[in-house]
Amino acid sequence: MRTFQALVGKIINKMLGPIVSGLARLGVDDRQYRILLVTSLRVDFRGSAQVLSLPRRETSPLGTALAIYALYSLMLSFLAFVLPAELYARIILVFGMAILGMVMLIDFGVTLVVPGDIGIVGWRPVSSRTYFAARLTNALFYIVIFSLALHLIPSLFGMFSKGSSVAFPIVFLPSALLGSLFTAGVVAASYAALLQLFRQERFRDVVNYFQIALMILFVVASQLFPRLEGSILRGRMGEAAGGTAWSWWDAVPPRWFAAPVEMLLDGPSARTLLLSVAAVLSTVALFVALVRTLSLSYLERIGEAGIPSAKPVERRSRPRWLGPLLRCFFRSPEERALFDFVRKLLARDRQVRLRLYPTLTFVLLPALPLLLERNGGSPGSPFGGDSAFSVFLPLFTLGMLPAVLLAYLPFSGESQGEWIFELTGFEKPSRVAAAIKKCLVLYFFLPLALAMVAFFAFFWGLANAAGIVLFALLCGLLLLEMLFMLFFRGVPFTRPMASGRSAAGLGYVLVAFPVIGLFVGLAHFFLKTPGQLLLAVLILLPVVFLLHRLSNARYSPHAGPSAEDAPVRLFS
Amino acid sequence: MAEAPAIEVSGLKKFYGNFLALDQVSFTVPRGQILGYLGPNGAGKSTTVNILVGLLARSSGAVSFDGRTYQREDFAMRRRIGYVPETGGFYESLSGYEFLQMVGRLYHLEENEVERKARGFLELFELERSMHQRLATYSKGMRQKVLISAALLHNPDLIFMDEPLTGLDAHTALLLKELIRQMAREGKTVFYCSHVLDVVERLCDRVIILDHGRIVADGNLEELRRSIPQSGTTTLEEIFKRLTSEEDSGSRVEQFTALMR
Repeated sequence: MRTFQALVGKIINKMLGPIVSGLARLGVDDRQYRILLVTSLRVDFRGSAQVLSLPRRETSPLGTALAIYALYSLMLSFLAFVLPAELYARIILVFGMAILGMVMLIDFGVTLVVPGDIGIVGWRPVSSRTYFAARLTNALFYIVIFSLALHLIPSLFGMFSKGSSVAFPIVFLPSALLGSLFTAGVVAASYAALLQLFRQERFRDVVNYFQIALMILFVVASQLFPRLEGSILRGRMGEAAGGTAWSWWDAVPPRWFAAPVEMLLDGPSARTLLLSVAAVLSTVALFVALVRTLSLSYLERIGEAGIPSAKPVERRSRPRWLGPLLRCFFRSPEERALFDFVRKLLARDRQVRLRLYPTLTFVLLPALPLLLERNGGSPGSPFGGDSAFSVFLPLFTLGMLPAVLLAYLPFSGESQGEWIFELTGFEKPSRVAAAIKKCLVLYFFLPLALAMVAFFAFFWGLANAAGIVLFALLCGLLLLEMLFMLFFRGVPFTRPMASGRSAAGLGYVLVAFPVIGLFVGLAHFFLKTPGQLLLAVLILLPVVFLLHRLSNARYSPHAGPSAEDAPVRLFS
Repeated sequence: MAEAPAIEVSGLKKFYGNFLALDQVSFTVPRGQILGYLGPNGAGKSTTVNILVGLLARSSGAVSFDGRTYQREDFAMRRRIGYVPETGGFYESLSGYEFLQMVGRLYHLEENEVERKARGFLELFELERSMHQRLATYSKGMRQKVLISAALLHNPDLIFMDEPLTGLDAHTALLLKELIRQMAREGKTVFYCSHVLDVVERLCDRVIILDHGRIVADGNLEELRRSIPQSGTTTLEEIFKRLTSEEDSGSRVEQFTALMR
């Protein structure tokens, strides 16, 4: 084992050699850079090991995330059998860059801003530039392995697409890796720029909004560009699919990184050559600019970002009628305590806000391009020929919601407060489970369902809209109860967020698509009339209720024994 | 020409938003002195230390060490600073030895020196048996020993300590106090922040008392006694109470016990 680890260490050191000498020319202290990088990776890997040791059944978040992304890439790879090679390369690149942008945002973007580091290195003779370079390399290390997980299988399948060549993987994989680094660099540059522009509390707020905005951009891009590329190919846009003709779409970065593949398949042209050069130069220039300019005063800014606000927490007075209503909904003091705890952390915890809310956009947005594409903005008729499409929209949103919520619910930046629950214990764990689920229903499911009823009522009338959304809500609750019973242990927000955990969460959401597809398929066959809808609701209602009682009874508020005492092995 | 003070602070101000945490704080510390920096909770002690070690930017005022204005990017000066923070300050997933190894390397110490010092400190603090365990498994006192080692490993001559005795057992506390005296005898300057008044009284050459961000007393114990005329105060605790406390603690104790019932 030790020989293997030493070998891995030697390989990493060998790979770092040229990077370190390049960075040294930019003013980075090479020895400090190596130490900080190796330390941050050690902390990440051992942090993951500690998290995994809490619930015994759980596997490493990083390994799980990589496996899920490989599985997702396998599903995408089958496009190789129906698409021409150039279009296939572009579509995989768009998906890959968008997903890695999201991964960088919700998981490894946070590794660039670690206020806790300031107490350790902030007062020592370490320059901002050296610290930033080490942190950036840490994030890029994960981006590279996630990029490999996402692109390796599609690059092999690419050999079998129409008009392809056996050299496809040799050209596609490096292009995809470069594209991934470019996307990560754009996110890192945005973080660094925000740190320069905003201070303390304002920075924390702005980062949250910025993440959501960028997430929307990535989600929309991942849905829109493949459709546009398809339209271009079919000649609908009046543009050539590739080759020598220039297009406005060549300004979009995924096109630059697809150019080397085009060059391989169609032979070099001025256009593909220039786009390939643009891909390489833009990536290099981005990182040089990051290290040379944006890294200055980075440590100082992060230190300021870590200062807690002296402003008192905003206390909104609760309407009088709400108190008795909440007491009715949350009957015991235990339930009310848990409800308040979950509610407050959802609103205030920085890690929760930075990771959960941007991922929610992934649930809310992908259905929209489909809506626009299929019926020109109309969701169709619920009981007409296109019933599956009509049901899909509410079903997708409310069905994906539990996967996102439960993937992020155990983790937060406040996990050190976990001892209070261990100390006090819970007299009736089923009440804790009930409180957690009720809080999720109250804060996410109900508002979303009501908003959808209001939206669809314009197209279908209130009764039909309410019926379809109620059906989708019950399907969502059914999934919530099932996932809660099978996977959820411990008190929410009491476990530390390890590297790769958010990416794994996003991965779960990606592979939840087929489950939603199953529900849509069932709706297509069995929801033809309002009577059938009523019957489906009447069947689902007791099933959800029974599952609710069962998952409450099986719930354990203790996640399992800690294994922090385990000897240090990983990355030793 | 007179020697420049080891630490010179003048007109230091720090705002957190609209809150004034430090208000015109000025003092000098000569080389080889142990300065006790006291104050009630929230008086601004940790803010002062964080500014002096370069963790926080000051709103206004000046800080200089040995007559040289201190800038954040002055790495030669940073190498001369050692700091024991009040909380945190290490990676819990590293072992005690790995943490000290990392710190030594950040100061560009030679590898054999890093190993010798990291092992040596841990052995002297009786941590040799747990040096390869994760810091997360260490007790509060063991962590404190690692933090102290990490502050002194590179042989600094300006040492800032924020509650350094926290969690230490009686033997180690005695050892550390003697070590601080020895360092001062060797010409190192120690800035000692604490709430433990009797330790400050016995250890420090001079005391500064801070209250609501302002210095309310500065001098050795004799000078502080003289600064409160006709009070009959003899101990630092009494002086501290007179200068910073507004209420009778006896009545507050009664209120606490009533509230607990």
